[in-house]
Amino acid sequence: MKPRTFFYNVRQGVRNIWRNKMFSIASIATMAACIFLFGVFYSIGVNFRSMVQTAETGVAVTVFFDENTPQATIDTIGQEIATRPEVDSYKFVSAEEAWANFQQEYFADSPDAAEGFANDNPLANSANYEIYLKDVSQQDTLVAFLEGLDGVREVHRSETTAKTLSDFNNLITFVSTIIVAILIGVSVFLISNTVTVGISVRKEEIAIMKLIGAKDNFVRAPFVVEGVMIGFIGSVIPLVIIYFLYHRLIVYVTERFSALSSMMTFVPVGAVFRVLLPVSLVLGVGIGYVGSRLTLKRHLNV
Amino acid sequence: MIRLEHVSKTYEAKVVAITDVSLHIRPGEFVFITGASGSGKSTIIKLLLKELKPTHGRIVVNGKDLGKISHKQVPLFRRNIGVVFQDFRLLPDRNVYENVAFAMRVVEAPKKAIKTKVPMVLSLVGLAAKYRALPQQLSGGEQQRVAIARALVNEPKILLADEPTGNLDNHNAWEIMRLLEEINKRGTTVVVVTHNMEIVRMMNKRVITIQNGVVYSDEEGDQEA
Repeated sequence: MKPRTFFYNVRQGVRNIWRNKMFSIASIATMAACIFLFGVFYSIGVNFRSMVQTAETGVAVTVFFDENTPQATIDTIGQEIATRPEVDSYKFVSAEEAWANFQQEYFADSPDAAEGFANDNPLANSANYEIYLKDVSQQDTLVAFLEGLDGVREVHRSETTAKTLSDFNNLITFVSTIIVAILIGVSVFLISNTVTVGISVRKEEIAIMKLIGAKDNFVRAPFVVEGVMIGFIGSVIPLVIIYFLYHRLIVYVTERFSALSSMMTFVPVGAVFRVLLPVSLVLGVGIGYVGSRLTLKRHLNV
Repeated sequence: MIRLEHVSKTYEAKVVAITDVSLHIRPGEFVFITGASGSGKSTIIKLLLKELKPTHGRIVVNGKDLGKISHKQVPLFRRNIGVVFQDFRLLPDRNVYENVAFAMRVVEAPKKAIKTKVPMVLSLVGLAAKYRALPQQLSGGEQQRVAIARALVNEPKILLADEPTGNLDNHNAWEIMRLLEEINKRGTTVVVVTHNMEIVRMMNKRVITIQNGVVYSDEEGDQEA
């Protein structure tokens, strides 16, 4: 298509939107609602994922050995751990280190209390491997594996908030997918209706165009432009709203709920929009394109 | 230029429009196709525009066998045919200039060409002064002139006019016929479908009469009249 034809068709598409104001507004509003909900769920999801990841970095599985396990067996266990795909990192904590850590954690304020154990490490049998996971949901698999290893006395798993957060995140993803899918369907339907009205209003014009030699794409283009523009406007409006709301919400939560904000770290708006912006625009424009093309196929026999 | 060989058209409800019509229109001719309402004259126009497919027979227009051109080639084929209707079919929300320019935009003509050509054609049909008027501000005759200007602006080899004077009074009908004659003199083949026998007689051109879907008569006129 030549540039002048392209711009002519863009102008015609804008005219179509203007001619069917009410239908266009309804389509834009539905599209905006769809993209807005998508944006909200995405922002919540991103923040939960971030919190889960933060929580997961603190989740460790601890492996204790049978009494008097020789160092060679402990090393073999270490090698086995290293080969596991669930493992992000692991470290060996000797009985001495375990006792030192314990003292630091519990007797930091009263070092005298620990002096009674000066030559007798109460955690002599507590050498262990601390294993950090790539994904907390894989904890069960790893624990089952570790418990089957020779020389392993006990495996401590972390029943932390990470799993809860992970489950909640999955729930949000599931619910948002369903809601957004329904809204996408409604948006396609409304855009299709708008384009159908546009076609019926311009029936005479289309007939003339066809008789004087307009190519199929020339006849279709203004309607595709109409659908795409509705999709574009319908995604830009909620993106602007989400941008300001998100920013204000972070400031509000941080200021009003300082206790909560120390537990939660929000993903910056820029990081959220790096993905949300292109995905929403592609989604909006894509829905507009698909909605208009489907309608043209059904109602415009060119 | 235009050749119909044993062409028949039966509509879906088994309504026979034309049966075994054969005719040949030479380049530069002015031809009337006449007959009573429902005789099949408009079906011939639709077949020539490839709006309809014949049930039987072969149609050749501008050297193209219409049975062999693909759906994609139809727009390019139609660009060599101008068409005028009884009800003008102008775009009511666009002025005279825009209605004519529309035909050039549709064929993706350059802006410069549109700016030169549209005023030229409007002056040919005598409407240069009214280029800003909307169709509803014009008389029936003037509206038909705009439609003719739109049909001519892409310089088609053939001009098909389906009852072009059907909605006009005698004076305007004559004005339109004189205009079509002028266009024909400039080299465009003109085919006019009409049931206005008075005009047909006065113009003294070739007349093909269709009756009940068959060619009833084909009489040569005085092409110089």
